[in-house]
Amino acid sequence: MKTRDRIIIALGIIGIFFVFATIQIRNKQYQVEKAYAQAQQEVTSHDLQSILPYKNKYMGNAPNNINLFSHLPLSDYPRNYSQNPDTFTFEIHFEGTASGMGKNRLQKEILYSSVAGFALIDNLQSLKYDFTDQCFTVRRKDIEKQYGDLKALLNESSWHAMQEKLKKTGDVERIFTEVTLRQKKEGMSG
Amino acid sequence: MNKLKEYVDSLFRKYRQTSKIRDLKEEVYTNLEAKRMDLIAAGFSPDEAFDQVRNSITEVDSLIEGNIKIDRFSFCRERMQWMLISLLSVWVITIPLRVFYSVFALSYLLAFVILIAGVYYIYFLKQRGKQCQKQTVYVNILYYRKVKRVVWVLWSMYFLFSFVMTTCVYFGSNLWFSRPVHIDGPYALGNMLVNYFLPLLTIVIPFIFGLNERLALKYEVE
Repeated sequence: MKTRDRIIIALGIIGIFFVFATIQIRNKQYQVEKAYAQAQQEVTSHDLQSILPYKNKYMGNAPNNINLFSHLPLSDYPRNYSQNPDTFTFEIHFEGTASGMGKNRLQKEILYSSVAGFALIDNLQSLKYDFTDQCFTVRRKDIEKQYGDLKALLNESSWHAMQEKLKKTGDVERIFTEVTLRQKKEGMSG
Repeated sequence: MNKLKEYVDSLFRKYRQTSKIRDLKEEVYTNLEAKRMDLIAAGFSPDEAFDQVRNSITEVDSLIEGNIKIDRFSFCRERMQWMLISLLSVWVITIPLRVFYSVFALSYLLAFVILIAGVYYIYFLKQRGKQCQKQTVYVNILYYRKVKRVVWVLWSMYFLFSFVMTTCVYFGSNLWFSRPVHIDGPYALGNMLVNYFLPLLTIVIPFIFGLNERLALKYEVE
């Protein structure tokens, strides 16, 4: 009798230990996932591997474009998408203001998303970042003028070098001014 | 109906009226009637003869085929212990498998069932155990054997059915359209194996039902 009672207690303890162990492991996994997700919102730590599956020859593949831009740093901002196949333009309509994002972050993320978009979608010619107060248009030829052959960037070392350059605020501001066409909206300031 | 016939009927009331029970009842009645007639012939009044006959047999449990007398407390205690051990073993197995969605709910359900069973077991030891300690009851070993057989047959059918169903879900279209099997990575493989493995855990149900016969024989008393 006592032996069976001991087995019951031992199994109960093992079970409770397993439950706590799995909760701990799950929490650790959650922390890692959270840290990774946070890193994906930062241009200097964004993972190239997470966007490579969306490499495509044609910008006409709307789901692929949406998936690509949903895996880029600006993805934590509520938005919707549209595209114009006649001008090979993909448009992202944000629900918030550009001024609310902070100048430095906005510039870095627009530059990074544009490099990623043009490097991965072969016939994409223009990207439009449409905020409620301002609109920024970036063209492929301007980005290529700054970064050279974009396809050559699609390896870890080149990509990382490009990300490192985005840490320099002065450079970012200069390149951003050169490559973006900024348009203020009526009744808005910033 | 005479008083003796009514009395014999009342002794057999709790048993299902199978042909064997009817024969036994008839035999008991014939013997008691013969005894009653002997007593009347010996000078007893009909009422006195009936009372004596009635007092000579107060239960027929020991006459039923397959009935054995057991120590109720020890029987119930060990049965509950084995039930808890079985459920706990299954629960412990399911905990690491909780990464698979299909096991998650089952694991929590088992924990809940074990908690209730554990609380009842403690209550049994503290309260009910005291009441039925030294108590003996008759159980029918043939009935336990029959139940065990039926549960094993049902479980085998369930296991075979779930095996076939899982195979159809995962490979039905591959077999039907002669397409190659494609499994997307280790998680998908694990998920599939878990779906095959889960029904096997229900083997504790026939095991628990099978305990009755073994434990009844173990705790049989004179």
